[in-house]
Amino acid sequence: MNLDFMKEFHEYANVKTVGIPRALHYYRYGRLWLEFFKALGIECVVSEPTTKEILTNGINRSIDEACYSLKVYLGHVDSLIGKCDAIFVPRIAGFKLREKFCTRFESLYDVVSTIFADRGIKVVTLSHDWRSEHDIEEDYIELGIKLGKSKKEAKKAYSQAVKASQQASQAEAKEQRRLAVSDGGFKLLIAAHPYIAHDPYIGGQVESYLNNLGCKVLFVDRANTRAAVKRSQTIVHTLPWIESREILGTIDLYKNKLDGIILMSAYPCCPDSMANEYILRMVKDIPILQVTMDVQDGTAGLETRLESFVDIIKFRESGGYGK
Amino acid sequence: MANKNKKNKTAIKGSARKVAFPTFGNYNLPFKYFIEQAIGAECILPAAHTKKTVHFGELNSPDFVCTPFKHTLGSMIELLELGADTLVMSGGPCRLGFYGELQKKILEDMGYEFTMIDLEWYKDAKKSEWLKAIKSVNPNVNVPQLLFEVTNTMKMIKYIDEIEELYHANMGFEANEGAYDRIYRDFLFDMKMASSGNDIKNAYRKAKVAMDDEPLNKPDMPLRVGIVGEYYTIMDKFSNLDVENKLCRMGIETHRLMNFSNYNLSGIEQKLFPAAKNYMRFQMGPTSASTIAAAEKYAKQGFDGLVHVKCFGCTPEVDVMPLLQKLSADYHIPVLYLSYDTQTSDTGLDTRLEAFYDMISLKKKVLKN
Repeated sequence: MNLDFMKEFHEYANVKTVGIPRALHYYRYGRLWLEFFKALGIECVVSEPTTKEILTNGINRSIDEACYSLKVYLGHVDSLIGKCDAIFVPRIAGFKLREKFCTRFESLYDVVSTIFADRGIKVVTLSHDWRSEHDIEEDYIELGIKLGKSKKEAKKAYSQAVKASQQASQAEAKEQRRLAVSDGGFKLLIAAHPYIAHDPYIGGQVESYLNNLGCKVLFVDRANTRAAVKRSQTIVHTLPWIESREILGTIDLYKNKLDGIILMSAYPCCPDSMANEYILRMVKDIPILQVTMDVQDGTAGLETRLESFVDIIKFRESGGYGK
Repeated sequence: MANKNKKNKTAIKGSARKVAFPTFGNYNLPFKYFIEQAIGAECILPAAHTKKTVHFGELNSPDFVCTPFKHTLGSMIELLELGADTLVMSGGPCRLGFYGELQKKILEDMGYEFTMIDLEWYKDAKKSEWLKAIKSVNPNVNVPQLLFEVTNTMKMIKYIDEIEELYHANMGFEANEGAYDRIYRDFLFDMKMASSGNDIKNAYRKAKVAMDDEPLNKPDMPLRVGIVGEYYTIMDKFSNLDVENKLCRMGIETHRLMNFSNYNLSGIEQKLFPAAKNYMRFQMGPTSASTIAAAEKYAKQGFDGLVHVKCFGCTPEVDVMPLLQKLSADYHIPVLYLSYDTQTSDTGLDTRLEAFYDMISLKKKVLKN
């Protein structure tokens, strides 16, 4: 009897530990993944927060023209080799025609498995894009089955994971709401993709520096993202990227509470190259600092820019220069 | 009442709107034909690209947006200066989908007044919305004629692609110097002047016969190079500094699968995805499967080299590059990677192409003996 199809069915059955790169979608779905794999009884290894060494390894592995975020991601994949049975590289490319991620997320699986083919890595994946007719839940269940679990177990694990990750993000959102309505201090929104804003090596330094200056830092992904996407639909029709929609919508939702916006992107980010220009042209009454991060070592230039931006806002709010 | 309506219809033959679209290689001609013959509006044909066009575009574009944005924006500015009042912009599956909206915003901020028909907007719209858009250009549009002329336009696109294919396959080996260029130029001129399906067919026949009759000095095994890459840059001669002709002039037969009729009319991206399965498991982007499948096809047919053409920062094509590197190693086929930004000097390109030519011709000689 030919049982080859069974192999396909439980494609990843002998995977006991899964490595998760701490980059890109990790900052959006990381909690969900950790809970999901935990509930399935599979051990997770998350790569260390980005360091110079990780970045350098990533740069060595990638095409010169690739974006900063992909270079970081490849570095994280590289650091996981040998620490786990397989590396989890999902292909979550979008949900609707105008709620997609950058095309890089669409190609991530094939890029990673081609680039690291010589290192003999095994890649666990799940694929969902806006062409899929079903909900993403089914893709997670399929992944569970491929990992050798039953459909029931996978379904239960997914719903548990969704619940746990929602609880955690709701706590964060509550904290941010409290911060947004509190008195005193400058409220600055870091308008960036989560994988840029929350990566300690990229956006982390901006956050800590702003905190040192006594500012209250707000994030896009801790706001009400569903409402933000909805709001963005009233502003722009054809913007294809969900994360850009979240940024645009959050700025609009928060516009009365903000003292300034840090529009941060990584070079050469595909959605940001256009969406940020659009935001700059649409948002007229809030001061915006546009920061583009690239592979650079020194932070002095960045610090000067942030400090002067905060100074300018201070001057502005105290009634102009000379007061 | 009925009489009055009839009178109105004959009185306004076309509309007073001046419709224009940003330049896109040879396809300017079928687009013009469509607007003039099918919709019945006046069309302003984009002038040939110049340094100035790129400069205008570059000046008003965001920093690291992909290059076609800058080219099309520059072209739009020139067209608006020429008096266009309606701009048509295409949509697309990548960043191209947001071109129209952002370009509209930029041009409005610059102070131009115009109507933008952004085709991306109509992607998920009903047919009645499409008709509304067409009627906004010409309220008296004749729908049966429109449908009839759509087929003529598609024919024109197919003929242009076919003649171009022939031109690039044989141009480097012509016995009478400049003969192919002359035929090709005449053909494009005829297409520009065409006003009916018959004109299109006759022009195509004339060019095809003339090209077939032209004597060739083609060796048994000429150097063959496949050109793969990103949608706009590969088809727009100005954007790619005419890399295809440069290769042909060196005595190379060039092949290119990526053209309007293959990609848009035949839908090769979907069709060729199974053929690219050796290298990709999932769909990777708007042109990835076409690039990989075409590259593998050329490699299997024993081509001497591949040229990968893309604009700077094209995300899908950057992601295809590791796969192409692997393909290059698997089939021992050299690949020249070209990345274009808004530079207009071709000296650097010439040097690289010459080196590439020397290398593949040497390789061929060694393999022959």
